[in-house]
Amino acid sequence: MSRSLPMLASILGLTALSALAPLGCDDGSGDDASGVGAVEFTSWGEEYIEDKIPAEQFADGYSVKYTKFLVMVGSVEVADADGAVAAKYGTYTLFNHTVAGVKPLTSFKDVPAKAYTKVSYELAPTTADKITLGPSVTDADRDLMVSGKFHLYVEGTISKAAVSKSFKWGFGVPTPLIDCKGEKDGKEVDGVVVTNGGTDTVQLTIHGDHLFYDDLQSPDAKLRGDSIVSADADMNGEVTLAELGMVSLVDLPANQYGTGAATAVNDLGAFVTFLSRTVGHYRGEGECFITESK
Amino acid sequence: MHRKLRRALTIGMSTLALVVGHAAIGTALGACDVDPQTTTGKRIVLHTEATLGGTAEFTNAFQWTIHIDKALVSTGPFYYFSGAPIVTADNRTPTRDLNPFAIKHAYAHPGHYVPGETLGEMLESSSFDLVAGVTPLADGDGITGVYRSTQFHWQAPPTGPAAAELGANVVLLEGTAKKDALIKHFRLVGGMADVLDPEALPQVDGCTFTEFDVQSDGKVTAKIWPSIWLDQAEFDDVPDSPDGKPVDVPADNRAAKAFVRGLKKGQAYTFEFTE
Repeated sequence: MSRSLPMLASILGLTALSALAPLGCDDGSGDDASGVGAVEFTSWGEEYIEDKIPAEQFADGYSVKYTKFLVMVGSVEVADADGAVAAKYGTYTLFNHTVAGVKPLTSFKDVPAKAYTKVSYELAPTTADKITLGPSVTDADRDLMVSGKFHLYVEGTISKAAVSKSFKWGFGVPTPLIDCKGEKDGKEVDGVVVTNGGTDTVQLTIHGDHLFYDDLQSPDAKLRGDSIVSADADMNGEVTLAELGMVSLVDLPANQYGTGAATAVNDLGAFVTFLSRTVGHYRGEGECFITESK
Repeated sequence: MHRKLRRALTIGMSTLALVVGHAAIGTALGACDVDPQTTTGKRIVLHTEATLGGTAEFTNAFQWTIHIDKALVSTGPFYYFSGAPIVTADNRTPTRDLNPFAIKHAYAHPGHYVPGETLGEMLESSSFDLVAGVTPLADGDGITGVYRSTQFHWQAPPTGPAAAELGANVVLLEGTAKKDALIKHFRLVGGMADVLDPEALPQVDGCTFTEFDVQSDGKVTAKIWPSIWLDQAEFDDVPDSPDGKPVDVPADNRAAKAFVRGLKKGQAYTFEFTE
């Protein structure tokens, strides 16, 4: 990547820097705005969770159908560049994103109009008293998440031709997502922008395909099923997290399941658990940073 | 979802960052680019050295006590970036004690590494023995800013002092592994094919550069960690040595496979800046 770029970079970089000059120095803070507006947060699991991840998306021809995709979404904060919190949703909503549609999470009214560049949320286990049930989510679902201390729980099947394995995986790793940014009206926006009388609607998008990535770091990671299906050690038709944990990455092809700079990921169970922290996105394909604590 | 779009966006952002970063190294930045908290964009010299990460003797995840007698590496350029490495999985890692630098980053993009701005580079290739001590490398250059990650390159064919012994390989490791009554004398090698990343390039992306707001000339120390390469190696099936000399470990041996996987771990290459 870098080796071929310096000359092109120098040319394009000078062009880019020159082009910036006449544009002025808008810091995007919007501090000169006045009035109040609203911010709404929703969540959606997209077609991959609602319908299926089709075989053409997998490098080895598998497909995945989720029958349950429970995810705990909450602890939303909207703050300005100085960290002053203007709005906060301190609890969680438990969604089952196999239920179709974009689902409301929370909304804030009468928020002073300006740019709020520090928006964060969490996917995290929590206690029953802090959980609101999303559409079609049951008390049993909530109890499952609380007792398992899960931030994410999925059930489904992974299939190719005559081969089909079920899975029921629960993951419990608190995952704060900070400094979120994403595309709005064709422009990348840090956080949210509240305008006088307007409403900025933010979708916290959940990506169901991430659990089947074959690399923890590469943007070229592929979806794969072979190694996961082969992990069914007792051949009972269900691949458990414990069985995934018995598959050492050393025994997998050297060009698959790379861990990049991640530590403590030496088996498929740890690998998929790591990926469970990456499902939370922002305004579709936008991203946040994972941190250990907000 | 929409991986092609997301990949395009990621590559686009990375490319733009590289473009601006490389341009910034050779060009004074405009007023709009100046970080009010630091002076960003001033050219600096990055003296560079490489050394063994950790100690020559360590115990791996399978309780093999390993002593490294020789660790030859053939290195290529290093590129330094503002983007943080990917987040760590949890705190259970047995390698945490082996490589304290691997867990210090507070945050990163979920699931993939975004390099951010290019801040510096060291372009000269070399080869050397990590066990022999600190090896001075060529000076690099860069610009002031907050350094957080590195792209480490292997070099084939090797150049420099260890080139002849490395031959066609980019890494050669000799040592002894002991566990209970078992003693294994091993020689592990890695060629170019063993160190290719997912894009088939001989590099390791997203290595930790211990976060430092670099504001002046200074020294970059590259630490290379054989303890990470061998953390998951089980030596039970390595052939016994008849004479105490190192035995070539076959490529299909689990120890060799663990070693090759270890070569691709970003935590095995850490970088620090000192003024």
